[in-house]
Amino acid sequence: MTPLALLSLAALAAGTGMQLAAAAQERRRMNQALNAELARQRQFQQEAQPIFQRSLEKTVDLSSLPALTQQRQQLYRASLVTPGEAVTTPTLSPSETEVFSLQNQAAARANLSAWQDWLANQGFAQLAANRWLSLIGDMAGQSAGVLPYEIQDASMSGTGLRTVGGLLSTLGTLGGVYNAVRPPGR
Amino acid sequence: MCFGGGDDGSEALRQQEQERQRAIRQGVGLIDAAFAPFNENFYRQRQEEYLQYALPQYGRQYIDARNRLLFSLADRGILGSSIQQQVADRFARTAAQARQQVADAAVQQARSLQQQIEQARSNLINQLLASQNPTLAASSALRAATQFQAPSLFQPIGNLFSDLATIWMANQQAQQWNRVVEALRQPTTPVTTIGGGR
Repeated sequence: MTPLALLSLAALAAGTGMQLAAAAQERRRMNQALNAELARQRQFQQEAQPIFQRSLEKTVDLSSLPALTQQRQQLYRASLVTPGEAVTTPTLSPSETEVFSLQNQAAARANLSAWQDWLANQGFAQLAANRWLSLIGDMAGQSAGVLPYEIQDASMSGTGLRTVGGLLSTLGTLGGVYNAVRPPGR
Repeated sequence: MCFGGGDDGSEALRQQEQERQRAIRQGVGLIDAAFAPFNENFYRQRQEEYLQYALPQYGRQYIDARNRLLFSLADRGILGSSIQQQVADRFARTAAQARQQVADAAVQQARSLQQQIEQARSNLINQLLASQNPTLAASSALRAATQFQAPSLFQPIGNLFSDLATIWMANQQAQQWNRVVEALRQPTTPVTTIGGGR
């Protein structure tokens, strides 16, 4: 085998190797970009998950209801006490039956109103959770929006290597052809 | 020799996005700090303040209504009768309902303030997302927070005993009318006109 043939073969092999390396590099960079984004999205998910979980648990949590009922009862119990001046006026004192009825009515109203208070608290808690989840959602969306550009850049990361590899391959091919067709003895 | 490829466009984009997220998180922190005083105690205090504002008005109306009723009962000479007990029960019912209305209004005042504050907070976060400027968000948050901490104007509580007064007045007019009719049946008795007192 002539030195030219050897050189051509070496150039062809190196060129092909460089082109394969360029493809591998692009694949690796694309995978890196994708994995990095997946990790970021996972982080966003980990941040959002407890907020959603707390919101969900709170939605079915009735433990605050007795305290809310008690607060309302205190508010309404006070409503049965007339202003000081009136207490000393015996002429307009309600009957015991009426007082009993008013007490029952106040207790029932306290129970009903406590549900409204509970719902209002739920609403405020959900609003706060929504605010955070929207923020996290926005950040996750914007972060994912950069990925296509990163993939595009990664897919072109081997361009230089591929060009050099292509040139070497072409030189090798041309050398091989010349070696095959050149007159013997030259 | 460099065999790299592509450009740094996506890297700059990623960096820009990371800075944006940092700015947003910082801005949210500043907004949270500005709104920290608006906690459960703040709203409870607001409720108490409304009660302190409205209860004296209720008390005055209570005493006026009670005095009017007592005067009416005495005027008709039915103090101590069974009618008086009915009036007292009716009065107690109206007074209890009126007082409960005041209590409900106090809760409502606090709740509506909380709604306004939470709405302002959401608006500020939306502004932060659009502007990505934590400094602007912080100053807006402080301005909003200061505005909510200032005392607000409350409407007077209105006439809580109006139902009782209306029923009582109609009752009185009916009785006056009955007296006129009675007087007309007996021509020798002097006729009293409606609204002219006894």
